[in-house]
Amino acid sequence: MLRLRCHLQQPIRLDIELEVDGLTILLGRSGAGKSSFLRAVLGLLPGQVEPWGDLPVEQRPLGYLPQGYALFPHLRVWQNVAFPLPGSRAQRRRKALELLDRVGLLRLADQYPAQLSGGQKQRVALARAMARKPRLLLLDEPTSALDVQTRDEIVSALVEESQSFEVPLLVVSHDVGLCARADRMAILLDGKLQGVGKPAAVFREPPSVQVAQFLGVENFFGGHIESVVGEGDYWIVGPSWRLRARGPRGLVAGNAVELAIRSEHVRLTAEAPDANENALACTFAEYREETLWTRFVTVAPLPLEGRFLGIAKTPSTYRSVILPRENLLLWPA
Amino acid sequence: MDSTTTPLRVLRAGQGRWGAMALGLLSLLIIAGLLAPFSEMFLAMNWQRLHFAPGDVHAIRVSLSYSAIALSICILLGTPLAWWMTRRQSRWTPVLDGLLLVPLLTPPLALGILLATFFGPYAAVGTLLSRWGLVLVNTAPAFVVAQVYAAMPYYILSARAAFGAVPKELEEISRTLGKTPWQSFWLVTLPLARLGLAGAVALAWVRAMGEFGVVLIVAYFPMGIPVQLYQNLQDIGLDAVYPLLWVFFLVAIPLPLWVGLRSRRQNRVL
Repeated sequence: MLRLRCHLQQPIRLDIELEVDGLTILLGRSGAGKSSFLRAVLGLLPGQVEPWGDLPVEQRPLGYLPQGYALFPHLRVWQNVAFPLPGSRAQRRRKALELLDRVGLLRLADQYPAQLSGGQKQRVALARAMARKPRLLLLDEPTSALDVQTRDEIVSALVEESQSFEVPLLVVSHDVGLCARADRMAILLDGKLQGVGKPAAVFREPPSVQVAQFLGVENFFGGHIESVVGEGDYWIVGPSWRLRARGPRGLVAGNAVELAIRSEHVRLTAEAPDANENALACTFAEYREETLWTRFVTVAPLPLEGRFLGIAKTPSTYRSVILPRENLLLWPA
Repeated sequence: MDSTTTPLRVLRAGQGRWGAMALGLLSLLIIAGLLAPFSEMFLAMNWQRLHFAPGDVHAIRVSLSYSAIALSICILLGTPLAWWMTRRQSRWTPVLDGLLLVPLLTPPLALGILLATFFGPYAAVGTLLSRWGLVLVNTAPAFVVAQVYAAMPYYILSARAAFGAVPKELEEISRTLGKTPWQSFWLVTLPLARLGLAGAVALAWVRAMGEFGVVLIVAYFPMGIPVQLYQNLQDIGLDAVYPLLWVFFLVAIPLPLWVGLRSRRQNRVL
């Protein structure tokens, strides 16, 4: 486990402390300061950084894969990989070919970067970054230049190859989909980190409304705690609804809270509203098939967006909408 | 439908071909027009009585050796300056760019007069320098200084463009791969900018070799080829101009020509 600290004032205020382990994803919208953070860690931007903050760029034991891969266009593939290597030309070539073999590109050793595809360039850049045996590999938006079909494939290959070098990876991206492969994640919001931890835990229980919004939760609504059922177990009321939800301990009756639920967790049923817990009568504003999904929007008593896999029955089949207690997210407002 | 669209398409393609041919013909005419005066070098020259005027060989030696020195000075001083101006962008950069244009805009004769008054024996700087044994009027150093003033701004502007075409990211990547700024400059910046820099060198060479106006005022002596041509014309006549002009082209052209050919070959690789 490697602990990175970064304090920046310019060009953006950042205060970050991040533990990197295995594959770690740092998410953030464009302009949130992700690239500034990477550049500061690398030493390309002045800032207070730990560790290695007192070393010049070339002495920091870091590997870096920028967005466009930045291969040297005037050097052949093997020369690119050999760039950071010391020794005689023959030694450097031998070592470069070994590295190219590891990423499966030995046959392209004598080509120029302009002749390679995006994925090939990325692997050459990986081999080049690994030639220095860095203690940490930094990747800037590795999926930004790839289309969706090749994205997963290339990212998987990249992650496997990097892991074969046994170097921890810090990936900076706006692509929430990358979390699927990650060991740890964090989200950069307003210059600070939120939602730090294992992706499964962060996705299951986003620590704040902003994190939930960032991770793509669709439905948000406010209410008050009516009564406390048990530890972290509450009845919450709104203008014309009453729901039971789990949340942080220590809230008391009367507290304002924010609730949320993902669209795929909103369930429809043919039973009457009073037959189930957390069931509300539903009137549809929208109801339609979208490829393999059926998507719907309900109005009163709560405007909700929902979807389920499968072919739609007619909307009149359904009499109520259920917001399962275990899927409701709850934060103090 | 086919019967109407096909002739149309043929007609358009035909028009395109005629247009291209007309443009090609026009281009050839313009080039021919530009080169036409040079035909005199073949037609008006007396090939039977081909000989050098007195002082021609000396002028060739002066022009070649001092231009080489002036070019070296332009490269040594101009390259770091051009790099610095490209990479250290600030709000003063446009001002510096504008100031660089001043020597370019000044008519060469006027620049020569300014240099003569600045470095001449009656000016403060000139007096100071001559006290150290450096006389900058009608001496070899004066000749080189005149050429440097004529060629350097061209070199800096072209070199700036060459460095500007190298992505800063590649220099940064080089640093993250363990190279110092100096090593990154040699291994990445210079090779990537070398076509543009070669162009800058060629341009500076041509400027230094051919400079007349500045040299005429500051360093009439030692006579370089352009001044010798002027002198031959006045003292002997046209017959004495052509042989020296031939030599001038033979010695001045190879460098830019070689640079042009090299850049074409390299473009094919990149």
